[in-house]
Amino acid sequence: MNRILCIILCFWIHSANAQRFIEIKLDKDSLQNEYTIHTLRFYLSKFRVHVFDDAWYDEENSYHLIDLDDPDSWKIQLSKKISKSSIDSISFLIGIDSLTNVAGILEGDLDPIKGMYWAWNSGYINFKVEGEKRSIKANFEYHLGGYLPPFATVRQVKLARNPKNRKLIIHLNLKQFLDQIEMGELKEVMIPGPEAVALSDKLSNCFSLE
Amino acid sequence: MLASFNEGWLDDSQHAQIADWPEPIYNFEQNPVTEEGFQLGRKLFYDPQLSRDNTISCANCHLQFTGFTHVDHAVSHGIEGRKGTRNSPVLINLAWNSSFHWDGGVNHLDVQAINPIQHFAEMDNSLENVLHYVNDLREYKSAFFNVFGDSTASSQSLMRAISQFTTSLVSSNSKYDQFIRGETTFSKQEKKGLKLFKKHCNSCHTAPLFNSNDYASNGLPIDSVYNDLGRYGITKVGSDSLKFRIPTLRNIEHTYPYMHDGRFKKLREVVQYYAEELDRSNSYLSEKLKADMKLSGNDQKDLIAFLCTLTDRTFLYNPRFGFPH
Ligand code: HEC
Ligand code: HEC
Repeated sequence: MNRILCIILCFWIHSANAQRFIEIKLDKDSLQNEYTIHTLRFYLSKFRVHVFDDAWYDEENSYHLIDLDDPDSWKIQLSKKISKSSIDSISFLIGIDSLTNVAGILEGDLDPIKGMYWAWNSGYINFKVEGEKRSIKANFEYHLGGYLPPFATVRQVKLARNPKNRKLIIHLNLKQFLDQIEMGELKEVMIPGPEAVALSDKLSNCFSLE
Repeated sequence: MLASFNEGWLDDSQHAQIADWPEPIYNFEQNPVTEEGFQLGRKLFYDPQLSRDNTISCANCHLQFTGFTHVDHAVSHGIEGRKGTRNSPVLINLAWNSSFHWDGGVNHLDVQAINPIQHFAEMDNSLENVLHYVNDLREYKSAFFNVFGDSTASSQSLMRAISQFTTSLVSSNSKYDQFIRGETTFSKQEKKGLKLFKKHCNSCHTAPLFNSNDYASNGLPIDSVYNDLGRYGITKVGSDSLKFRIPTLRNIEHTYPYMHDGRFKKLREVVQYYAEELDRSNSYLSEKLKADMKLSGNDQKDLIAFLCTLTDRTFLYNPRFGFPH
C-alpha cells in the first residue's frame, strides 16, 4: 500500500517539468521494402546530458544494451530528473569504452552471457545487425567491435536538442547505415579490424535527435 | 609485501618465497581469495559436467603433474576427440600475466574460462548451461553462497571462483628459487647453464617469472597446418605477424611438447633449435635473437641442466592442487 502511494507521488513530482527518459526509436518504415532485420542489438553507454551554461550531468553506470526484440530496452530511464527546458544536448557512446573492455567479468547488461562478447579476443561487440537485403537476396551479418588501437570501434555521438520538442527521442536510421555498405562485396564482419572501423564510422552518422 | 592486500591468497611460506617478485597483475581486491573460494574453484576445475557431454574437465587439458598442460598432444584434444589448433599452455603463476592465450587475445583471467566452455573443440557448452548445472546442485549452491553471498551463481561468480583456484597455482620453490634464497647450491654445470641463460634467454624469459608480458617471434617458421599468425590474428597489425606471447619456462622439463603448436617434443630439440637451426636472416625474428649464440654441444647440455633447475616438485605434486576428494 505504502509503496503504491510512493510511486504515484514520485510520478507526480517528476512529471511536472522534468525529463525522465531517453527514448530510442528505430526508423522502421524506411526499412520495410528493402531489408529484413533478424537481429539488432547494440550498446549505448556513458550518457551525458548537457544543460545550458556549459554544465552537464553524467549518468552513473550508464551501460545499456538495446535489443530489437526487447521493447523495454528502447527506453532509458535517467537516474536524475532534469528540467526539460534546460537541456541543450546529449552525448553518448555507441559501444563500450576501452577501460570497461579490460575490466574482467561484469554484470547486468555487460554480462558476457548476453551474447555481445567475444571470448577469444576478449571485448564487447558494440553493435550487431543481421538480416537480409531483398533486392540482391543477400544475407548480411555485421558484428562491430574491437577496442585496441588502431582499430578501436567505440564512437561518441553528440546531438543537440531542438528546444521545440518536448521529448528526448534518439532516432537510429538503420537504412541510412545499411545503404552505405556495398553488400555485394562485404556480407559479414565478425572480427575487429579495418572493416569494423569503417562501418563504425558510418554508423555514428545515423543517429539523430528528434 | 603481498599480505597487505590479500591475506588468504597464499600461505606464509609462499609469501616468503615470492618476497622479491614483482607485484601480481591480477586484481585481488576485486576477487579476494578465500579457502572456500579456492576449494570451489578447484571443484569446478575438476568437474567434467562443465562440458556438453560430461566427459571433459579443465584438468583434461591442464594436468597438474605436467605444470597444468596437456602432455604428449601437440594440439589439445577436447570432447569427442575434436582437436584444437594450439598446444595447451601451462597454468603457472597466472596472477602475473597481463594477457592470456598464445596470441594474448584474452585480456583478463576472469574472462578466460568462457573460451574452453564455449569452444567447439574443447568443452562445447554454453555459459547458460553451466550456470543451470551448478545452480541445480545443492553442494554448489551452498558453496556459492559461502563464497559470494548468493547461492545462485552468475557468470561473474562462476568465473571468479575458477580464478580463485587458477591464481593460486603458484610455483616458487624450484631448485633455482632455493639457490637464489641460499638454501641449496648449484652444480658446476648448472652454474654454467645459468650464465648462458642470462646471456641468451633472460631478455625474454625473464627471471624470476621466466616470461615477459610481451610478444615476440623466436623465428619459428609458420606451421603448415594451421597457418597460425599469432598476435596478428588479434591486432591485425602487420608487425605483429608470427609473434607469440613469451611463455614462462618454469617447470619446462615436464611441460612438453613445446611451442604454440607443440612442434618440439624434447627440451634438447628446443635448445638445439635456438643454437643451430634458427634462421637469423628471418625478417620477423626478434632483434634479441639476431646474434649467433655460438653454443657448443656442451653449452647446450649446460643450458638444459639449468632449465631443469626450474622444476618445482612441491608445486607439481602439491595435493592441494590435485583432484578434490
Ligand atoms: C580441450 C582442451 C582444453 C580444455 C578442456 C581447457 N583448456 Fe585451457 N587451454 C587450452 C588451450 C589449447 C589453450 C591455449 C589457447 C590459445 O592459445 O588459443 C588454453 C589456455 C588456457 C589458459 C591461459 C593460459 C595462458 O597462460 O595463456 C587458462 C587460464 C586456461 N586455459 C584455463 C582453463 C580452464 C579454467 C578450463 C576449464 C574451464 C580449461 N582451461 C579447459 C586447452 C584446454
Ligand atoms: C626474443 C625473445 C626470446 C628469446 C631471447 C628466447 N625465447 Fe624462448 N620463446 C620465445 C617465444 C615468443 C616463445 C613462444 C614461441 C611459439 O610458441 O611460437 C618461446 C618459447 C620457448 C620455449 C617453449 C615454451 C613452451 O611452453 O612451449 C622454450 C623451452 C624456450 N623458448 C627456451 C628458450 C631458451 C633456452 C632461450 C635461450 C637460448 C630462449 N628461449 C630465448 C621468445 C624468446
